[in-house]
Amino acid sequence: MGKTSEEKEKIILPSEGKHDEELPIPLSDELKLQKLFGGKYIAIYNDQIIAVDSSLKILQEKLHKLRKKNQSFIIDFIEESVGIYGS
Amino acid sequence: MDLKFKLRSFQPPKDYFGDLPQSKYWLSSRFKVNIKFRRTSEWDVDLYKFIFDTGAYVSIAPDSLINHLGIEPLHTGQIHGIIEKKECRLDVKVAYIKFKLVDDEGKESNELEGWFAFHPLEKEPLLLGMNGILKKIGIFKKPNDNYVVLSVP
Repeated sequence: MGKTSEEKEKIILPSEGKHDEELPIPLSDELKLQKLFGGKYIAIYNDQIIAVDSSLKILQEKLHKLRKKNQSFIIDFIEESVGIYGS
Repeated sequence: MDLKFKLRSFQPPKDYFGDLPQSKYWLSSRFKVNIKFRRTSEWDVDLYKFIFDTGAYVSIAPDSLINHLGIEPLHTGQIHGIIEKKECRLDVKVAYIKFKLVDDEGKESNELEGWFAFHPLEKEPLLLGMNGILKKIGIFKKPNDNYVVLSVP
């Protein structure tokens, strides 16, 4: 038997749950980084962001100036948004 | 040897899934691995974070990385994705490079080697593709874990 339009309005989707009531959702560290540095390469030293640039080449040049003897950096690329790479 | 890499959490833009309620706990199957490269005579000090893209055939990175490592490319050529049109092709330098995977806790794998294509686009992410990599390592993930284990020789 079909449902009336009033009944249909009351239907709660199974995917609607607790989390919706908790909005605004706190952003994860990764999302905060994505908002601040999306589309850019970053250099990290001792868990701190030391240099930022949208070109890896320019970031490497910046690091060359900043670098002390044997100091190593972690170089990461922060995506601008969720994308689909691959072929 | 097992190396652990954290899975990435993200909030998909609304455009992707319409008005579906958003959950705190979106987990992506994509993850980043840290790579340390071998220069001509020594190991480079920097760690580069690559997206491990098991759907990509070849690993790609900007030209400046191969210049920084001081490695001579073995040859030059063109690569393309699914679409083979001229405008979807990319000029690349190809090199066979030794590297180590380093997990989030700093544990290093033994020496690995593989093909990398270097392109002139400086604003693209670094991608680790499957060519030459998946033959050597296993990828394991349990349903409720937020990390992936790579089993490396």
